[in-house]
Amino acid sequence: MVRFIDTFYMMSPNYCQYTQIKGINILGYVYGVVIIFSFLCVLWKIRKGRSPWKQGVRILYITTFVMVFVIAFFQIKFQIRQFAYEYKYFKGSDTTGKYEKIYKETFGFAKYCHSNVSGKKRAVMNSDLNLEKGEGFFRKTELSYFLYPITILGQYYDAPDVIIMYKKQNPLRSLPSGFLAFPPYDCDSLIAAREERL
Amino acid sequence: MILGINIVLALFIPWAMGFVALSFLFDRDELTVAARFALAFVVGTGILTFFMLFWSWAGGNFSGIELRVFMSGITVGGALMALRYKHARFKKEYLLTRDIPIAPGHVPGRAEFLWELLDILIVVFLIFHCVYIFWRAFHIPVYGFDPLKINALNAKMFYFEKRIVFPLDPVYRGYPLHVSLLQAWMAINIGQWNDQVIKFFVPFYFASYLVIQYEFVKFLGNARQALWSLGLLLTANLFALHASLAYMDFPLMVYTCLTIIFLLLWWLEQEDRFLYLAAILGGMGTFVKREGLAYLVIYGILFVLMLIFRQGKGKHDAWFKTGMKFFLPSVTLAVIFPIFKFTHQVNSQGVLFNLSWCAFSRIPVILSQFFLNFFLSGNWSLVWGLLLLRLLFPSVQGSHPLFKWFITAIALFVGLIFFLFLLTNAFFWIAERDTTLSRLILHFFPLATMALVLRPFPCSGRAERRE
Repeated sequence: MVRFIDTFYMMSPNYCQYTQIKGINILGYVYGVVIIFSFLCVLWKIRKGRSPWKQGVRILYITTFVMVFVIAFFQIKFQIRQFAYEYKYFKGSDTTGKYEKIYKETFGFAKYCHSNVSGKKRAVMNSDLNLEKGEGFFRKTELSYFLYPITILGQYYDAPDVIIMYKKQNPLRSLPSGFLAFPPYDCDSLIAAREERL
Repeated sequence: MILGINIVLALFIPWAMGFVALSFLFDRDELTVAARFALAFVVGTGILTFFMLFWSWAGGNFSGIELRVFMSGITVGGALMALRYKHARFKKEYLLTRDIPIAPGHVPGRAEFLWELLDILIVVFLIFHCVYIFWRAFHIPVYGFDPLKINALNAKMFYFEKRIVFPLDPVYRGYPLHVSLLQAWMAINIGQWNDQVIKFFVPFYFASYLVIQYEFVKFLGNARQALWSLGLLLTANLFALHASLAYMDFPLMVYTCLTIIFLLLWWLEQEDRFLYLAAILGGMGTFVKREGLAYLVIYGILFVLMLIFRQGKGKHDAWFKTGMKFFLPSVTLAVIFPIFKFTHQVNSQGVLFNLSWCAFSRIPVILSQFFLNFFLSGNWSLVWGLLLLRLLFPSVQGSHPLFKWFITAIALFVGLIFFLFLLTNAFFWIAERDTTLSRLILHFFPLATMALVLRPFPCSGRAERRE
């Protein structure tokens, strides 16, 4: 039961998905219960000699509304767990701490960049990741927000102020001349600035 | 302490602007206090972002004091005008606040006790959601692809550049700026960039919408129906989730549904002020998200249908005049941002039409995705299933006069989305990545919850004459 509530539905801003039991969506079972229960009730009413049509529709409505309440019950149990989890997860953290937990990959690196380079800068980002699609695209998007006012979205290949090496093997070797690298963030990420603009 | 005062001020100024704007349309005692507060926030934030656009257009600087003085000046000026002219154009012999007893003429029995128990459960359900949504909105900073890439990054650029600048990424250059400007407004007022505070306005949209839907359904029926409509609204996981996030979809949903609500009120009450308000809210919706512009077509079709079938059967020669009352304000607001983009030479990538016969091969994919999303996803609980039941097995007592309009509006939205996926490159977003359809349905989902609870009620849905 605990596991069922924990996996009751998957929260996503794009699509919420109920969990499945034996490969079937919960709502499949719900519709099944509604239809079978209503059908049985109608059969029972027919045996008692009442109009099946009117009674059937009424029972169908009532059963569906009851199922809405049942779903809402599990939903709220799931949300209380979620609430408790989020509260514990973010407890005691300021905005920076929360971002470090949400965006482990990029926020720390952006913080490192800001600690070395301040103010508005035009930057070029180099990476072994494909920055146009997939994971690389998402990392670049996050970095473009966290790094601003260091801008990485423009086409500044001719005259960048800084070069950002992110997830790039041997980043120092790929650094063009005239740029001075700051102490690296990790073995494959660093920021370098044009010497005369430091 | 100072941060707190600045946050309150940042939320209060648009609220005050909305109050002043509404005072041109409604007398003080015509709306309930809650409805007036709620509507003022929605209208006020819409006005604020348009004025921020004009301010930047005119070369104004987004520095704290200048912008605040400008906005406060407009509000005070508007308030003085409202006091001087007192909206004499609008008839005032009707009140929009009513209190119809839930079970008129009946002595509460055992069944009533059960109903009251269910009401209490729904109230507890609503309170929990409100607490959770406000907590999430206030404690979790902006996250998610669209909020970071489109809104918050734009807002950050506006804040640091102190004016509206367009992002360099061609895909996101032309996006409407309502949410970005609101976020920038929050940052300007607190004098720093704070990823958490910039989204503080989001739950107020949620609260405002709840209040307005409650008051509207109560006006059409009774308090129990209104409460149940809110209960159904919050059983939808996607609605509850988006109420705490900084996506553009929730504000657009608010503007979309309020436009429809005020169009329905206009149809019911035949008062021009509802038409003006619907037009203004519809126009404001175009500044929230690109879909808002497409929805303007839906409002237009719905309005024309209402004009044809309206109660009281106005004369045909008055159609043009009435049409102008709706189309002029809404289209004027809708063209402001495109003109702004044109003057700043901003080209954006829109949807590309594919008008070949091959497009029809997409129909099975689209229909299956629609079915999965409406009836088998965890987004909407059983709300769409219930509505389908209601349509398949209509009540023998008949239905509320507005029911058909709710269904027409929903059908128009579904039809628009269907043709959007069928005939444009947006098909990719339903066939390859399931990231768009749910959020599109969210924009009109509340209409289903209102349609479901409406029952034929002999003395409902009419404003009462003043004593």
